[in-house]
This record gives sequence, C-alpha cells and structure tokens, in this order.
Amino acid sequence: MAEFTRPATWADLKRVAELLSEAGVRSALIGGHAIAAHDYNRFSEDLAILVDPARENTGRWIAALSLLPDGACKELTGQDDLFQREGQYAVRINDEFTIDVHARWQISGTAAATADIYNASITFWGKWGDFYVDTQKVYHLENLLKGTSWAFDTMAVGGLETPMLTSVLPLASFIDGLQGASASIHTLEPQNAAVPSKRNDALSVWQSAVDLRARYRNLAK
Amino acid sequence: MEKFLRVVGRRVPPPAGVLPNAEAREAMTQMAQYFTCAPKGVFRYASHEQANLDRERWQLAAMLAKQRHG
Repeated sequence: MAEFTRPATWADLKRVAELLSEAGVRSALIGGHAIAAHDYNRFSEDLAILVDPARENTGRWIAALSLLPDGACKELTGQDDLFQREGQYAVRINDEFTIDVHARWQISGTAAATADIYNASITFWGKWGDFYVDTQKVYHLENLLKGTSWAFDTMAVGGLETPMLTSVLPLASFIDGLQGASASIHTLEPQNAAVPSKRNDALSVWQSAVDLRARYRNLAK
Repeated sequence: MEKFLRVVGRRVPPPAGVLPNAEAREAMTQMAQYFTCAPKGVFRYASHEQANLDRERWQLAAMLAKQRHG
C-alpha cells in the first residue's frame, strides 16, 4: 500500500457517488468536481462532499466510505456522533485518494452553508444578512448517477431509466471515446439530415449505443 | 433533521449541468498519475483554515520533492 494518496479521478468520483447513493447518504458534491460538473473544468486533487451532520447520516457515510480500497474510514466506525461531539468542521479521509467530508462549508470567507438535502434544497446563510452564494459549486451526487453522460454507469447501478436518444450518443462516446459522437447528435434531427456522411456516422453510433443498451439490459436481468 | 437557528433563504439547486466529456475526463485522469504528499489516514478539522493549512503543507512538500527528485 502506498504511503501517500494520489489525486482523485472521475472514476473515483463515480465510485464514491455510487457508495453514498447505495447507503442512502444525504450529501452534495462541492468543490472543484462540482464546478466541473457544471462544465467548467479545473483540476482538483480531492473530492469534497457536504453531508447532513445528523448521526444516522454520519453512520451511513462512514460505512460507505469504509468500503474504499484502503479502508481508512474504518477508523471512524462507531463515531456516528462525530460532528455533534466535537463540532468539527470537516473530516478528511485520505484513502487511495482524498475525500473531504464537510459538515459545514465556508464559501469565499463571506458565507457559511449547510446542506438540507431532505427536500433536495440547499440552505445558505451569510454573515451579513444578505448573501450571495455561487450555487454552481454545489452538485447533487445523485445527479452524477442520473446524468446523461453517465448513462453507461447508471445502468450498472440499476433501476434507473434507460437514456433517451440524446443521451445515448454520449453513452457511446463515453465507452468508446468517440469524440465525434457528441458532434453528431444534432445530425439526427430531420432538418440536419441533409449532411449524409455525418448522418451516417451518427446513425452508426446510435446503432452501437442501442446494441450496447440491449446488452447491458440483458446483463442486468 | 438538523434545526437551523435562522434560515434566510431557500434555493433550489441549479439543474444538472453538462458533465465533462470523455476527453476532458481522460485529460483529468492523465493529470492525476502521481502521488501527492498527503499521508493516508483520517484528519479532523475544526475550521476551514485548519483544513487548508494541512493541504497547503502537503502541496509544499510535494513541490519540494518534485524539485529535489524530479
């Protein structure tokens, strides 16, 4: 086992999202990867999540993150009152990669935030009455599993709707690295069908995606 | 459910954004092929500043290691 962590990848984020989702953890993605989930990519070594600090929720994420390769989080087993007991701001789990688990979240030094995930809303408050929070930095982990670009993975997780036409093409793109696929999405629209070569490319990718979808449907049975 | 002392606003999360495409994800993965100087384990922080302090210390160690050993 390596002594130090490595930077987290998108595959790691997907795994963490699956673990938290399967455990029913109330959480939201924050930080660099949340920004990237809004189509603004910047490199970030860590994953950061905001969690409901309630005891039962704490127990859930401790159990879920203990399943990561190094099991670093197992050290917290039984400490469901982690945030109540010591009023901690955040716990950093340095497993193969780092996950910062925040019970509160300070934004730009001007506001604090906490999660109210129960009704899929986020509650923020600021120091000076009025406030401004960049909500683009918050992203529900569930959305990562339902997001169209992760259609391949959502099927593996099971139970989610199969992707619609426009989301199947990124599916093929994701699996095969076919960068042209996303550019071909619009060629499936009737008004764009006048570009035969692109249309054929798109239909070919579309057929591949349909085949893959059928394959994974069968696997899921 | 946690009781908030004062709630001054409720915001609905923005709609799902566009996740990075395969190329962007691959680029990010390629950039992640190294070890940091963050030791494994569990660390607890009482404040944002504390959490940042450790992060910056580990980053500095990584920068020095890179300079010394390439």
